[in-house]
Amino acid sequence: MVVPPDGRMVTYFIGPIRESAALYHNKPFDSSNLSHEFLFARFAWAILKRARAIFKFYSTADRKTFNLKTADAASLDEEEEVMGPDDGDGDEPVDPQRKPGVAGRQKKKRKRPDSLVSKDPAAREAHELDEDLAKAKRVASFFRMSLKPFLPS
Amino acid sequence: MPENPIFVSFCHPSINQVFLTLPKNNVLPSTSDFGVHHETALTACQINTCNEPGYLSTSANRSDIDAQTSSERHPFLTSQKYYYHLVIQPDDTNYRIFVDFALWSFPHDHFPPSWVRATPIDDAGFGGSGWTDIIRIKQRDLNCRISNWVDNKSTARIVPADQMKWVCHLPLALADIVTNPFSQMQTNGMVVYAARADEGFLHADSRNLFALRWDIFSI
Repeated sequence: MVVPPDGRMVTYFIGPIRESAALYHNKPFDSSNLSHEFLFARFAWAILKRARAIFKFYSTADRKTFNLKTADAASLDEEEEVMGPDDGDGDEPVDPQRKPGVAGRQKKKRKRPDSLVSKDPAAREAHELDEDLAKAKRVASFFRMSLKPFLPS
Repeated sequence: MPENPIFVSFCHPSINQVFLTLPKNNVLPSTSDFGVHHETALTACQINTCNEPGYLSTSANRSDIDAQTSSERHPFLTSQKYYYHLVIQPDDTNYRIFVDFALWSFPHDHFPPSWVRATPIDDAGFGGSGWTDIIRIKQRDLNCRISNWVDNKSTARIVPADQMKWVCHLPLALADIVTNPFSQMQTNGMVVYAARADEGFLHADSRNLFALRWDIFSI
């Protein structure tokens, strides 16, 4: 996201990012032609999303000690699909060929990982591999080729 | 960057529980220490309380003057834990914490001065021509605005496209938002910040779109 410390707009990472933060954190962001009000709204969106993630780790009892303002407290017990295109701070790419109604992404919900991921290390590793491959397919089209034949059985 | 970013926790003083953490990603001037930019953290806490102004202190006791911090004296936060105290103490000291963007309201009347643009936006060449605007965004932004790369350039929205519900007005029915997004955008007041005051706002507004290298989306 983008924030204005010291009178200039800079890129600012709020997650545990390493290499990308080393490259781009606190680097100038040219905000010409862009609405600072929208940038502020985006900042708020990212902060609230981060705070919401923290509350997912609280027990129901601990959560009740807060005077929490949320439209859907029950959804805090679920976890958003981690492979959604907006699981970082970025937004979905815009394809000019797509129609407006199609541009929005479809979010899937899934249960907490501890109820989904097997305790068997091999199964867990396979699950992580599937997630990585799915993410790679999104980012780089050449990953769309099947890697299964090259993987240990 | 530190190998293992250490986080600063921001706590609610009346219940001594964390509601936000931010990584120490900023190198302090003239040192090798890391911290969190104070003003950015303060703005973040203010957002979590739906725009209630406050200050940070290392003590849960708001009358502990020595523990209070200010962005002038402490531009970076280096302690592990801070408490966010509201400037005006509410009757119910357990002030509300917001975690839904949909319920957060934009501070039209209290927009932080450090965020205000120094110069007005020149929208020449944009406004009202639909999807061709997105092509012109790439012509306007020759480089990715974060990496400065030319290759693999895509376009990104600042306000995510799926936040129509927030951009529009909450009490309105979803059916109304779908059928008439423009009127709801006016209701929420965000239209004054857009280049194009029509239903193309979220999808093709030149003030809401910029060039970004494709793979940075996934960070």
